[in-house]
Amino acid sequence: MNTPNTSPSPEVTRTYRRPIPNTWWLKQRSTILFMIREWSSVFVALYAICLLGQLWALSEGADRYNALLARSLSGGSLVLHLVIGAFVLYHMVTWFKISGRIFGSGPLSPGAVTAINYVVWIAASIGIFYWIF
Amino acid sequence: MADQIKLTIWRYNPDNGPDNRPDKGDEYRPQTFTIPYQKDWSILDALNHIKAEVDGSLSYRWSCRMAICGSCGMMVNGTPRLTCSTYLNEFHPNEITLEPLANFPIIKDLVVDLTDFMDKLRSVKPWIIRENKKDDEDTSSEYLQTPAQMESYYQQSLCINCTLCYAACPAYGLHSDFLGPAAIALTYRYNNDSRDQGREDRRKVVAAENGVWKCPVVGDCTEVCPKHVDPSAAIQRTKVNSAVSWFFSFLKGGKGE
Amino acid sequence: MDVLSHDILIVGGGGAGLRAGIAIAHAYPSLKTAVISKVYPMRSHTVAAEGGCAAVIKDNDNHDLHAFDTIKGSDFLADQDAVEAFVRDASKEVIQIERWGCPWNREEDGHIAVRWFGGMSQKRTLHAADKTGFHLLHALFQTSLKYDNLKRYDEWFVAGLLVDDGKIGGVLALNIRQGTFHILAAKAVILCTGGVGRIYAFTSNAGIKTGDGAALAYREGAPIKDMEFIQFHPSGLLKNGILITEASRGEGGYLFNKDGKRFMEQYAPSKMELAPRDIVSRSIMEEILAGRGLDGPYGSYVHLDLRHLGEAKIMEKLPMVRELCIDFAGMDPVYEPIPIRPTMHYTMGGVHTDKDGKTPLAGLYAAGEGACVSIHGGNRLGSNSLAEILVFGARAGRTAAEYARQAKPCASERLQSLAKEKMDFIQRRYIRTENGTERVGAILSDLRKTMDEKVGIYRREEGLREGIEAIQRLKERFNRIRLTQQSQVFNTELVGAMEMDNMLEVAHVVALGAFNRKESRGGHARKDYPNRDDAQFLHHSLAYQTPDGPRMEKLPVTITKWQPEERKY
Repeated sequence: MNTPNTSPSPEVTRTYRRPIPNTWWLKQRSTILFMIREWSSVFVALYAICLLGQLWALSEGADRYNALLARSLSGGSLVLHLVIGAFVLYHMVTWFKISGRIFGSGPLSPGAVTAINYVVWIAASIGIFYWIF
Repeated sequence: MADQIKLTIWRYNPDNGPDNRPDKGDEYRPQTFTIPYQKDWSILDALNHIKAEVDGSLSYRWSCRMAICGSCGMMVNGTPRLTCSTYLNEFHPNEITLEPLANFPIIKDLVVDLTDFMDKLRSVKPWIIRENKKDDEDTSSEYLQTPAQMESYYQQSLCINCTLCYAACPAYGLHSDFLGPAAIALTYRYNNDSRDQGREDRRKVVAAENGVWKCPVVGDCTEVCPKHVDPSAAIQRTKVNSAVSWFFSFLKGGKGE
Repeated sequence: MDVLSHDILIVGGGGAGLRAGIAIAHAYPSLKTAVISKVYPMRSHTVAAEGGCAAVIKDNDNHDLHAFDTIKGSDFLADQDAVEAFVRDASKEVIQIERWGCPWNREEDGHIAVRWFGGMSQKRTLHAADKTGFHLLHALFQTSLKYDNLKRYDEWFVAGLLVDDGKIGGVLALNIRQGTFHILAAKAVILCTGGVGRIYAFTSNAGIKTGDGAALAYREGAPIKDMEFIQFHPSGLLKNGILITEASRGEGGYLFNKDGKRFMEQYAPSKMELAPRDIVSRSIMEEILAGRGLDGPYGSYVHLDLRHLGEAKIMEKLPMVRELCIDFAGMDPVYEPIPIRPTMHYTMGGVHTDKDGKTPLAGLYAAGEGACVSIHGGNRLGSNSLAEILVFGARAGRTAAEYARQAKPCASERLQSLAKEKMDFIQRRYIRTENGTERVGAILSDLRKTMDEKVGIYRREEGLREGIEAIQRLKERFNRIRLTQQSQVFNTELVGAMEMDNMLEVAHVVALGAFNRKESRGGHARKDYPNRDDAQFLHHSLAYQTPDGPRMEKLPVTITKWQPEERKY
């Protein structure tokens, strides 16, 4: 770009750029938490795949769906779901916090925005629970 | 013996090194200074002591020594800080390690190359843009702006260009073409100024590939900002704004730019 | 050496320099203009100005009032034609900078707000909280980025002016990053390099305030003016003199001695804490000398009390004061009074110019704190300096542009030989120092101690004589300096040595001017001559460099409509 600050001399002093190791994110708590959040999106995607699988089974009829449900109750599957659930929960909590930082300004404090997120989440969960049962 | 403190300073001199291979790091090396401990000294005071009394060849930037000029940022034990307002007593009796600001190329010792940052600052057109170019020549009266209107951008106008946020930003470290926190915060400052009409002009830069979307929301820029500018929030809000305006322009049958 | 050619070079990227640059880039786009600065422009010391910028913008105010306040504040040493031009232009300049984005504080209806300041008879100080200089500098810097035709040399240091036959031909400058010297040719040069605060130890001034412009002009035969007038700001934060803005008194803060008495009652009963700075500073010193100050590890002090303003007002109007107190004194002004003592703050003197920024040397101009027009005379009123850099930055820019349009450039061969002469000098004096023994740091700390002790708020013949002798000895020692950095790249030791040389040159003039002026006027207070003496000293002091030290001359003060009278508040 056209910068008025270009050095007029052709020779430019040799600068040194420090290499960044692949483990850069292990040095600080904030970046470790960040990397966990990044990885948690993989589990969000897994959850979405599970849901799509269930929908597909449902469209294939009650037998297919019940078979899938039965398989889901196996020990391995339960553990997998617990792990996925934990990551998705972590993902959600961090985004609720971030949305507070983004939208919280003026009279609406960041904490208030995050709180609203939780209220909506709990209300939606209760609503779905009643709708189903 | 009087109380002492150890400062380990990472030094770089482009004229030195047996192999002249900075990529091997053979010119980038730590040097430890042991100096008298004064509990009311800032790290900058300690550096000035070293420069005047111990080693005159040490290079670093400083000026106002009151946390407003933005010159003296360094990595203090791995965290970007302004050294004029960081005190020895926070660390003593432990030692302090000083490195030049991370993510920037080093010119010499604690002095980093800010050329890229200065170019980015300029690229976001940080000045009042008016549709009528003659507006800024009219000195008969001010533009009116209520305190509430000023409030909407004031926080982002407090940036002192110390570049601590770039040193804290892993995205900038990994992709130096990322526009970065301070430049985006500055965009936000002008876009939200009621006197400005340049939002469209700036969108091309900010919403581009190397603009806001390169930010992975680590949030460390906001953590290290000595002036509480909160660049992270400015970036995320800009993402929301540009997504919303993309959506509406798409609805209107545009190309969704 | 290669020659980089320009029409106009502006030395210094602070408020005055950037304002000059924009004035030229905007109105004279065909001129090749560049700003050369030893730090990135937004690091310049304008950034540290806090309280505000004075200008007449309200209906209940007028230019004559502002002019008279300024002249009375100056103890009648200001040139009144310059002050009249200044107050008129200031009203336009503050609106101009508003239109460039400066976030002035506002009234509820959206108009710019004003606050009280010392020595002003009306509320006329525009402000951006208490970070006015910061906002003003960044607004100017960011606006300057708009102009493709305004080139910048960031982190370049001007080592000398190239003068051919009494006419400016350019400068010799060090590219600090590369460590290489270059000839920058120009038909006109504008010095906007700020004051010389670093010659004092207890100062509000940044490390870069080393009087470079004054020394550059002085060495080439252009006179520097009124250098003996140094402003001590009443409220320097203990321990090292960081500025606590006058706005803290403008917003209603009180000064107390150790007995809890508002001592300003005694010294300026009508203005109280809002008397001009020279008077408030001396009042504080009188209290301290009479044993009514408080004592601590950093010496005697008095209290600046903001507690009655309340947290909300402090956060709205004085947030930086609170930040500074917490970060640099470990106390919170919401709950505790601030420990303060007068701190060296401003250089009233500088390169002698007329009201258009012109110096007696053809092609050389100056503006800002480094120039002396003079609108501040013996004492500057608070908030007149930010207005000054805008007004005279723009004026000097326009004048230099008109000159550069018709001037002829200096021949390249001539510049080469001038530069070679300077280069040889630089090599001998600063670079080939293997046989030297003196450390620059030691000379600097001795100079600062000398100035604090001998050329401080109160001056006496005996002390001044000792001060001058001490400075001469320091100059001797400087001839034997030794630098240790071998590498050329970012050699701040070399820059520091050249700055030190500048400071010694200017400090000598400050001390000698103070010695010669046997009266007390404005910021120059002689214990042995406590009264103003218009019969003998209603004149400016011009200093010219000679091999034997400064030669002093007198210059009459321009008086238009305000005859000198007794100065009481």
